[in-house]
Amino acid sequence: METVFRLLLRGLSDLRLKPLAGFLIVCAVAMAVFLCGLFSLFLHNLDAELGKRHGTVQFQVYWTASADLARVREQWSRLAQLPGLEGFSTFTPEQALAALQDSLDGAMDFSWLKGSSPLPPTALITFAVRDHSEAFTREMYGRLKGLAGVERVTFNPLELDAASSWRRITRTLLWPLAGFCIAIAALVVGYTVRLSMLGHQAEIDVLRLVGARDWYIRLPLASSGAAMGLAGSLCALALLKAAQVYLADILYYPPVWIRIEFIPARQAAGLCLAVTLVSLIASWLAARD
Amino acid sequence: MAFVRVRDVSYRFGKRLALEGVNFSLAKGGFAFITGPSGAGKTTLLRILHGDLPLMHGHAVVAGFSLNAMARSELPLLRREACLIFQDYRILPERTVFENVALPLEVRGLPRARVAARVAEMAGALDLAKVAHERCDNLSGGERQRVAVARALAVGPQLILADEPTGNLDPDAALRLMDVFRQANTHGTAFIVATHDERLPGMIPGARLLHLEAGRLTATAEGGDGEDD
Repeated sequence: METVFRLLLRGLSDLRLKPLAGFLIVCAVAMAVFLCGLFSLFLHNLDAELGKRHGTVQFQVYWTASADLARVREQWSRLAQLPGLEGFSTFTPEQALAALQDSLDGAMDFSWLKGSSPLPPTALITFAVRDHSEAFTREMYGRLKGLAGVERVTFNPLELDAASSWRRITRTLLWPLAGFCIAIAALVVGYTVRLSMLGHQAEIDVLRLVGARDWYIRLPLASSGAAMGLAGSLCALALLKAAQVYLADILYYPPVWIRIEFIPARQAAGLCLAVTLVSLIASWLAARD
Repeated sequence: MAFVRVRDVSYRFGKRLALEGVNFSLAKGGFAFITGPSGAGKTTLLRILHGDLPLMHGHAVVAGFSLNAMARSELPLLRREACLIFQDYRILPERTVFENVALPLEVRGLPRARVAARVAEMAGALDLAKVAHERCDNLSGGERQRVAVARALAVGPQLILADEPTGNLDPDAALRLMDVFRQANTHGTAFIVATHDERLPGMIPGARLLHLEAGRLTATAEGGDGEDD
């Protein structure tokens, strides 16, 4: 085990032997991953916007005007815990009356109804559309309709169709595109790191001559390859963050109102891990006969 | 049983015949010189014995390893017993003398203290102590040659195959190197030295002399360590 650690450390310390070559490899990896990251950033934001604007279905739930408000509030607090909830707005009869008045821009005065609003308690419940959206909608519709005191539940089937269509588009186009992009980046990174190992050919030959086994030759190469991959991907993420900060508000104006967000932490970590793994494998394979 | 046994070995580089029907054997702890002009096949023969070139035709046994039946995974084991000193040194120029000489010892998993002691011993024997921590690309040709020799001798192998080991050395240094070889030989290490320097065989009394011409063994002179074929 001590030998293994020593070889792994040797791989890292060997990076100092050819600093310029190592720097250039890290730059090449960083640029490839940065381009891939920019595409991921674009896809992530496009997907998020599609989800926000078209990827939801909204239920409007009307209780009877005579429903017990305390009981309705209890139901609201339970509904607020539902999984997949994207938005939840509730209106007591008084709040509904105030919202009505606001929407009419003060053209009518309902102050005489204050304290005895004839409007029922209502709730607007928005769900993200997921797989089996029709079954989910049917089930949710039945569940809401079955709540005590609920008089009517409505939703727009066209909204559901649009959401399902956008979801299909992201599934069939955007994510395969993302996978393709990652595959290209992996190839570029893999071959870049593998080419960098050509600089170690003399060392590989000498180690073979003195009777080193394959794993003994490959371990230091793999650790230096992985280190270069990790350094390159971290640089790429830093560049990507800088680009995101710079571009964050570029589309934040009416009527678009899109704020560019950074890719999720899990995706960023996945990118780093994938690049490091590809570099490790590429450098391990580079030492083959 | 012979320590090195070569039977009817031939080798081609494309259409060019580099070795043809070579036969010889060497006892454990023996010493043999292979002489001959450039292109006679000396280096090819050494590389075959080191497993660096595949055995195309014939049979060969080196340090108990049959080159005909040896698995690829056994090659490192053969090379731990039979070290080759190349004419072009094959050392790592960006590493120090110490690191180069330590390489085969580290590969064998020796503890650091023993590695350091052995490297210091070899550096002293081959007059490299002053440059032990110099990078090899700062050394002269003769010093690099001695680094290659030190690396091979450091592990105390059973067999050393040396290709023109004195090619870059002045006569005094060549004499000292042959003295180092003689000492290692008295400790049981067998040697096969390829050279076109006619003076070298005379420096090792009892050494076997093999002469190659155009890939064929044309003459052998038996020393005390040789074995009958």
